[in-house]
Amino acid sequence: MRGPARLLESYFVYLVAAVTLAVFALLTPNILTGANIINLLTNAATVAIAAAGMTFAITAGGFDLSIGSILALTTCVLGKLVPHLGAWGAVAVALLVGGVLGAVNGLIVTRLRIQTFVATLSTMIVYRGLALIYTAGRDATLYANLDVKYFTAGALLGVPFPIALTLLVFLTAYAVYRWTPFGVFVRGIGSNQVAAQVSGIPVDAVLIGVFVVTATTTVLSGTLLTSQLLTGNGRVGLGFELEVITATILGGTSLSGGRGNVWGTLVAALLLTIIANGLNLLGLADPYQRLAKGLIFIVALALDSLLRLLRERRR
Amino acid sequence: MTQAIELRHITKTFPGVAALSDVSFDVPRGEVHAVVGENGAGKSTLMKILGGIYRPDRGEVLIDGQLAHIRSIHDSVAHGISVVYQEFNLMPELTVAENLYAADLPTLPWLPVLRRRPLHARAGALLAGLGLDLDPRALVKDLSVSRRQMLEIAKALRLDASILIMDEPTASLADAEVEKLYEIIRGLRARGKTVLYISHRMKEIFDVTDRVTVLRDGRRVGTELTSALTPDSVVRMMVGREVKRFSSEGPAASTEEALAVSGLTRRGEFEDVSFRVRKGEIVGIAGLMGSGREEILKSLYGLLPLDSGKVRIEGREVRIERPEDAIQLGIGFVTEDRKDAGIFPLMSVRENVSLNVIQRIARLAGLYVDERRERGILAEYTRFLNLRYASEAQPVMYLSGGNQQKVLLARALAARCKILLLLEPTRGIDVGAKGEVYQLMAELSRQGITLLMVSSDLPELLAVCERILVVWQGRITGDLVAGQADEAAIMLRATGTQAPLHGDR
Repeated sequence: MRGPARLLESYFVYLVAAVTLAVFALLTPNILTGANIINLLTNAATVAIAAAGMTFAITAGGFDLSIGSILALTTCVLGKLVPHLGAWGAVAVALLVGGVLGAVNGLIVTRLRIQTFVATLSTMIVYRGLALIYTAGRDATLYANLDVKYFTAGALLGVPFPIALTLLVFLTAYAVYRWTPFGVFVRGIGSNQVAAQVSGIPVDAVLIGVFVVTATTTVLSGTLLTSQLLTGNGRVGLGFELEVITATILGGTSLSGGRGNVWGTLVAALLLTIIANGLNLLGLADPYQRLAKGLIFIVALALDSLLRLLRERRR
Repeated sequence: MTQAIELRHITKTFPGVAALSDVSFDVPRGEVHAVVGENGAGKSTLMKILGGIYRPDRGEVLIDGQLAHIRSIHDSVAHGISVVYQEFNLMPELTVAENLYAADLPTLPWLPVLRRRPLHARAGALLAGLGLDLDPRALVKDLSVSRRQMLEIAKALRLDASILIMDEPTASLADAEVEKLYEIIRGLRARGKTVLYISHRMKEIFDVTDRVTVLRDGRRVGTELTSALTPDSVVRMMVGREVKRFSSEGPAASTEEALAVSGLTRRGEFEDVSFRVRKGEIVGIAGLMGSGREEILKSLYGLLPLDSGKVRIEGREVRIERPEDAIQLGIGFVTEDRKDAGIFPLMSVRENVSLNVIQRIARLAGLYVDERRERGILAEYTRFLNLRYASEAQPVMYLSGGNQQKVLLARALAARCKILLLLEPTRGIDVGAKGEVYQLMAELSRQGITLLMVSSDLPELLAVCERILVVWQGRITGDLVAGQADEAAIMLRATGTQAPLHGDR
């Protein structure tokens, strides 16, 4: 750590989230009621959990654009299989499927030497195709299998399940990022892939691992989503990857690789939800919400880059 | 005596270029062996073959008398070879200790969880054993270039390899650190390790190596005991011809003021810098790394904003806030960071040269780049700079270091600059090309172009410049007439040991 500037850079998103929350609290007192807070956290969970995985991909210097399609495929797998295998069995299968798809992404990137952006852009199309084929383009509804409801309405040790799962995922993500060789390897590869190779880091295996992580965290997100929708559908989650990448970058994970910020990602995912929720409570219509969201991002990212500039200037 | 390394008829060809042809020589165990040659002579290719990055097309490598098939970095390490590469192979976002032991991080026995204490202890012990004052917990991105270089060396030593290959290890080291490196190398030799030492610097070759192998155009020219050679004979072997020693022939004395700065300040980097330069003068700026010497020139080119101070060009006060301003005012700049901030590696030689003037030579209201005009410019500087390339469309990345440097010079000159700022103009280029660059600088000075150059190479400054400004901790501590100064006089001022005296102007 080197002085307040670097500290501020790491915690910048916290500041933005606090200010945004304060502004909305002044404008709409309803935002800080207990029920709404639980509502906020629950809504943030889907994006947040996938973003925990994306934090690894971007820290490693890559992207995973296929997660929107993996999300859709997850809802389809659950929609089809819950009636046969029960909720937990179906989730286990979905995790397995997600792991395989992630490994396929990783193999395409490492074996065929295709950049992550292009590789996952291609599998994004393929995986959505698979989801649509699997459900024949129709809804796989679960109105008769209400045990999946547990994933939104249930509680774990008294904590609403989505919130508990989010915490669990982020604690694990942070521990992996900070305390395991895998975490060091991911940061090393993102900061200089050639050097990582020369240093004897198993670069290909780590990259495959990263894509398995993004895919499996997305399956968890998809499980929460299915539980809310009670439907599997190959068309859900369009643009999901962009929302997740936005949360990750806004959270302070460097696009140039090497430096991630796991808790920043969580706070940024919350920030996105607060903005959406606050604008809703203000009664802003959807088109205006989009304008407001975009402007808030630009302001936040501009402040962030200004801070970095100041820090570099002082060096 | 056992041979640690035996190379037999090594041949490696890249598309269109024979990088190595039929190279054979032996290195006995416990020898420090220099490999020298001009850029493009094949030294780096040879090292990369031993390091497992390239595979030879023909020929074999024997390690300790055994045939070695080195197909990957892993194989190379398994044969006890460790390489310090010239390009930095460090991961800036990781700590010193994590960089050192990336492939071998200590974890708990039952969980893949890092154990930082033993990691730091091990790294600390290694660094202390080498006499390096580096914090294992420091992030590499916070280290200075020379400390990164020392870390790179420590990384190669951590494996306790029996063969160590160093590719220009001193390129960015200060003198005290070079001494430390010598100590390390002598210690390795005493322990029976073998060192292959690649360098352009004659002084180091004669300070630390036992034998020298000279490569030229991918072929081995000879292998001799260092003690049987002189710097001149090594250079002759390298270039295959006599090299004229550079001597400055007192360029036309001018009294016209080309550039004057007063009170230049950029807080934390340099303060109250004032000097005047006459038209056609070659002025050197000396100082240790971190003294602010590069920053002064960068701010004159508009790359770093000034906090205060005045700049006058030919008597007229000017403001330089961006490189565009500097180019408009006739200031040219050649970076020291050729690879990352100089060349456009994939663009052609032609485009690299004409880039600064592309708007000036474009036709149809700046919409159409006339290649014929570009070619004209390139032809002019190809002749003037003796630039060598296969075709004008050749990507500049395939040129040798010396020719890339000339491309940068051509780019600055094509904008018809009157003042040329140069950072380390001969870093990483070979002896022959160095001489050419010096001749060019003298020629430019005769044409009335004013040159300011920063260089870490003191003999170079003394030979090329008429005057030398010395910077210490962001302040000018000396203004010496090169003809009357020596290295000691510069170093005393560069280390703040001696304040400006009457001998200074």
